[in-house]
Amino acid sequence: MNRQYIKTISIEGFRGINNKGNPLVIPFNTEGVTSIFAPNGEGKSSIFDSLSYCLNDELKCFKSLERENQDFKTVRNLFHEGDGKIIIQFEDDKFVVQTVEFKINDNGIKEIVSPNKALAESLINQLKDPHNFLDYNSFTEIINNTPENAGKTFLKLIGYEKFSIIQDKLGQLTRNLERDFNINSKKIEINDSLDRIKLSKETILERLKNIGHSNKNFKIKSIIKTCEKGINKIIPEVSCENFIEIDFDKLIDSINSKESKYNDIKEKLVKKNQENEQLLILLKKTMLFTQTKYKRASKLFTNAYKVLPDDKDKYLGELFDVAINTYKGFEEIDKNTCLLCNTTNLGNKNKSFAEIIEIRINKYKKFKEQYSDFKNFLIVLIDTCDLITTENYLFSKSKIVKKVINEFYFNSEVVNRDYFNKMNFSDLLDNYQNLLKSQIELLDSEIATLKKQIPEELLTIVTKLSNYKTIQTNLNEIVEFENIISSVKSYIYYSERWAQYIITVKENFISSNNELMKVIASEISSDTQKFFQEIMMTPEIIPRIEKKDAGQKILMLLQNFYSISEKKAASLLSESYRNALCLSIYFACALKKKSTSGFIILDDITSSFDGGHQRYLLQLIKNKISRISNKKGKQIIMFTHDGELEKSLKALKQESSVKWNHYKLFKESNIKVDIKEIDISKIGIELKRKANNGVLVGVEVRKYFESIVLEIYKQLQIPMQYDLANNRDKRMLHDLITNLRNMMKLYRQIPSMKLMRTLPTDNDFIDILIVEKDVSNKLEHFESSDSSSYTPTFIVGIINKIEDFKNKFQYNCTCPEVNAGKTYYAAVNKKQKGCKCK
Amino acid sequence: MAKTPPKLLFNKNKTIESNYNEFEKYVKQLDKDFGNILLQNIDKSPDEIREITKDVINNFINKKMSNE
Repeated sequence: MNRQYIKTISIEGFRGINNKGNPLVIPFNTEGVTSIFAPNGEGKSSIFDSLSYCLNDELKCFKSLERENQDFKTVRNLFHEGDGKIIIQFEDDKFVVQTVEFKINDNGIKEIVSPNKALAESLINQLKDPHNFLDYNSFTEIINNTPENAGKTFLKLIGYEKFSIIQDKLGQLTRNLERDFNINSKKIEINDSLDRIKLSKETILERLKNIGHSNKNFKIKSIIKTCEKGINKIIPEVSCENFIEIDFDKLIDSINSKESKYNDIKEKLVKKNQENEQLLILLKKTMLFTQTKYKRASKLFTNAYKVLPDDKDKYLGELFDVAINTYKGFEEIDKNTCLLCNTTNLGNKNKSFAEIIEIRINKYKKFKEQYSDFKNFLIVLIDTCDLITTENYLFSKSKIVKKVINEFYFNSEVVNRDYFNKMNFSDLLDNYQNLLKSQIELLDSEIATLKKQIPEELLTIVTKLSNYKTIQTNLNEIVEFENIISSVKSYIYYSERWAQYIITVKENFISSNNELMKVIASEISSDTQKFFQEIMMTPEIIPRIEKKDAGQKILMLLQNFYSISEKKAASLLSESYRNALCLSIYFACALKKKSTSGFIILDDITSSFDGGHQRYLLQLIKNKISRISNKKGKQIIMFTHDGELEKSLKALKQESSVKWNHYKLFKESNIKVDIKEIDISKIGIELKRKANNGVLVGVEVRKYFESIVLEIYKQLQIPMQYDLANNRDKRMLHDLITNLRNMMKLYRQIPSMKLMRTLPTDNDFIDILIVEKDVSNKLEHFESSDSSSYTPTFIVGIINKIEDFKNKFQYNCTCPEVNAGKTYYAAVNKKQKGCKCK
Repeated sequence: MAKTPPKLLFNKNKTIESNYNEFEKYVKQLDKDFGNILLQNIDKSPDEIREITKDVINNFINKKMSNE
């Protein structure tokens, strides 16, 4: 898309501009500079904001306000009827004009209402650029920040903000990769599965030996074949096509049923054998719980608690972590106020309370991460060794393992440091293993006794089949654990592949980005030096921008500072020099960046410079930055309230002729607060009638009161501050009266003026402020809850007082020859010099 | 990962978009699967990207296991 310039803007009903049907239209010079001068309160900021809001979604008027104070209902002019309207015309390099129309609704929300909305939206999106708007706070950002943040601002200015964000993200993605993907705990899982497989293999070999087969090499296929042959030898009629699927319980039952007289004994024997099998497996599994593994768990636990030496830190860290999440941090609360008990003025000289809490929370988070490692390790260990089953089987009174599972697994809280140490797992396991061994011995002797009562042949078949069954169960377990190992290995493979991938991407991105930024920074540095010299005219001071290798840091140095070299610029330079450096960087970046937006809008950027340097800056803008002499330059729109600067602007306009537009905003122009015309003469009578009839008129009385005060302002032509006129809450009336009182005080202090006797005295103002309090706070408030205790007499009394106050102002000077701004004086004193009233 | 790792080079004379395209090309060349995941989710937060990667890894494993 071609570069776009702003041709005109038309504003109606936006912020301080209220002019229904008669919009304020400003034509801009697309080939050079447009300067707009206006004293404070004349609508300059409203024009700047209308452009900024429509083109960059920002309102300068809200920038320094806390979010809760940003009332978007004040974006549309409060006195304007209907939606606000802003129309911006753009013109491109080839003089093609496009128009975009915005509507501002009651809630201050803007919407594009141009006929071809999609096209208009696309145009506005393409125009978004960090260079579009510049005010004092924005350009000082780059030097007031840390080198890292300055670097980010720099990248934003040259259009590489996206790269800065990507670099941050890649950095975060490569941090704690091991922890993110739990690679270590997955490796532990593989080792545990291998232990289980080893156990199953040992059991299978042992059983094979029991039934007369000796396999030195463990090969599953050959074992299955051996088993199938063995079974067929015992029971030829059984089909052994698939060993794994043989139902041994059914087979044993069918053999036993043939010898029914031994059924009771056999049943007992089977049960004892099964029990014995189970105990042997449990015993082997408990053996997996080795001292080395237990030591590792203890070490992980101790390491976690090393992060939090004091239990108080754990308690407070957790408490504040929860509080921060609940209250969404300190954003809504003073940084030195406790989130929990609302105690104020916490913190110390060096750190705010929020910062102290952040350190504590971070410590707590680190502790929780390490604690989680320990917890996972212990749970896997207990699970691998099947300790819960052992404990249940032994009817252990202590139930330590169950307690541990409950505490560590199901409880989201962290347990105290002493709890784990008190467990004494080693003794517990010795105890369990001894119990299991004695149980097994007991069962062995019982089995031997039972066996003696059954014929040997039958017994052998059943015993052999039981052995085959155990082999089958263990083979299934081996397959299951081999699948687990395969899946976990794949997980580790892909996780490590991702880890290696993202680290390589990060390293290459950072190094390439660094190289690029170094080259760009060097070019920008060279332009910055030239611009800086043109503003400050001090050849002894030469700035330099340097991109550091580490992170995204940008340093602003002084290559030369008189006889010194290579010092940091921020602390060495005075405010005006710093600002000149920032502006130079900003302009250098704006000219370097290829952008659809061909304009820069500047708001009061010269305030820190003296008259001479202001002129140098304007010359730089005219000769290098703007399109007047530089084909690749920008269209400049600048606002100022500085009366001295205006003289220079006028001179430059004369020099540049058709390429410079200059405007001065007056009160007489249509940018002013318009007070509604209200016929208030009959309202008082009507309100008194209603009050006497028992109607609740609190809200109406306040509105009537407001109208009267605004009428006084209008008649006396007292200048009204913009924020006062737009403040429609209950403070408005109070503020208007106080302001009026102050104005009267001011005029009373001018010795040459004689005030009319009827004008209210300071005591009258004190009285009327009390009435205002009654109206705003009591009358309206009580009526809103439908429980008014105010009598009609009281309300009528209040209306009378308001009208008395009104009548103290007399507007008897209507002399047409008196300047608009002096009417007030004439109204106060007919004998004022210059007034020709008779 | 590609056997011969590609090199990422940005050029000051190219536009930001062209340099970003270089980055896109590079991450895909380095590893097509992960490159696509990274690019599709580049506007998301690191935590979201991390979770998406874990899901994708699990899908890889499931696919591999079902083939086996």
